[in-house]
Amino acid sequence: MSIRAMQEPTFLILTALAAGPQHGYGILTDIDEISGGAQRLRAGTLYAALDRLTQQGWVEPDREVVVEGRLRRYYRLTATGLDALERETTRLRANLTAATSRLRARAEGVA
Amino acid sequence: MSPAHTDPPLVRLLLACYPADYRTRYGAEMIAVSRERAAGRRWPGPADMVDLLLGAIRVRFARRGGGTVGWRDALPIVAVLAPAILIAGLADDLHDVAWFVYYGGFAGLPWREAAVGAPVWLAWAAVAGCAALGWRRVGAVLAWLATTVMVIALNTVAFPVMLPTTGAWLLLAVLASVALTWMPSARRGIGGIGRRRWLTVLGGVVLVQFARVLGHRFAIVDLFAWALLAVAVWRACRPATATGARAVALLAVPATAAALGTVESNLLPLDFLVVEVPWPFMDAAVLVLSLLVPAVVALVLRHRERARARPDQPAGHRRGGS
Repeated sequence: MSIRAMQEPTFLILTALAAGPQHGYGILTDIDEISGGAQRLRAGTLYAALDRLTQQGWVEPDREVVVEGRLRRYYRLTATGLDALERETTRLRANLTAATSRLRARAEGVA
Repeated sequence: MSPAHTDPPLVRLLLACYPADYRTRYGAEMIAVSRERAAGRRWPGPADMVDLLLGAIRVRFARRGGGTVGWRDALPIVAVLAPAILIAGLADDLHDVAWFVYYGGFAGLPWREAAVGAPVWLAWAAVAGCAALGWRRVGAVLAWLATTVMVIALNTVAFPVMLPTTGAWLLLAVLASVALTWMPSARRGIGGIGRRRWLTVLGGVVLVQFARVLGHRFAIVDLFAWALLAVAVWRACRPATATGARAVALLAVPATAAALGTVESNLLPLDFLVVEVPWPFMDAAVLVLSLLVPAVVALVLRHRERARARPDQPAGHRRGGS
């Protein structure tokens, strides 16, 4: 089991797919929304990440749809991908709790 | 689905930077997403184009780093073995010391004359120790220092006699330094070849010293000791593996240079091979022929790996497949 921190684009792609299968452009717009516009992924980065995640077995193609002559391939999270996202969320939550309590203690000490 | 011919040429050019299978798989999707990002414009924005280019670089590097075996993977083996082999260079100094002791006694031994190269070869013993223990950085620094001293010494009066194998020693020193500097840091130490095989190589090195000192009158003894060392190195590399084969190929460069240098100077008139190029330590032809060894091995390995990558082809149609 890897203890390395997940990169933010990977975390956001998995988060976007946690809601259900999505196509490339859908993932990008979802990430814009999730990150409040702070993380703006583009096609090159997205598909390099999707290729890697597919090889890792975290993501898999769901279905293909042709819209106005253009291919839309939907991707979905696998059970392994879901597990990885849950682990990363737990890790981030633990960090967040630690940071919050330290900041609170600091604020109380100052006051 | 591949990108269509109606797509802008620059976009097709950017997609051409990706590996072919990747392009076939994601090309059309990437263009579609870039266009949707561009809100109906025919051309994606400049940031999207830069991202497409960076994505291609990322994909190619990721593929190079994972899965397939590269030359860099062979460097941990070379980093452990090359410095150990370099200790064998001490043999000539040991022989000279033994000669002086035999004829004049130990007390009046002219150390400067008899053991002129000893400090360098002993430095390589220290490098070999560092490499075996996995102290990569210390080993690399020492290796480059020893290599630099060798180059300086060879260009001054410190080494008055240029032996036919001098250039080969220098090649081996450079190879050891490069290997220690650029090897993947995760795989260091003698773990890659095994303690027993490493000790066998050291045994071969000791044998070379003995052969030079005790059997110096008989060239065949010297040759036999070197042959045994070569076998020990060959086995330590595990040449049946792709990484081991590459390690053998790299170590074969100085070995070939030494063999050709010796043959050229002692046995055969190979003057027709000599090209007058100002390479200070060996004939350019010997260097070029030595460098051909890894090139040939690379071709053979590529052929073998391609044959293995076609499992659907009938075995009888696969040349060189295993």
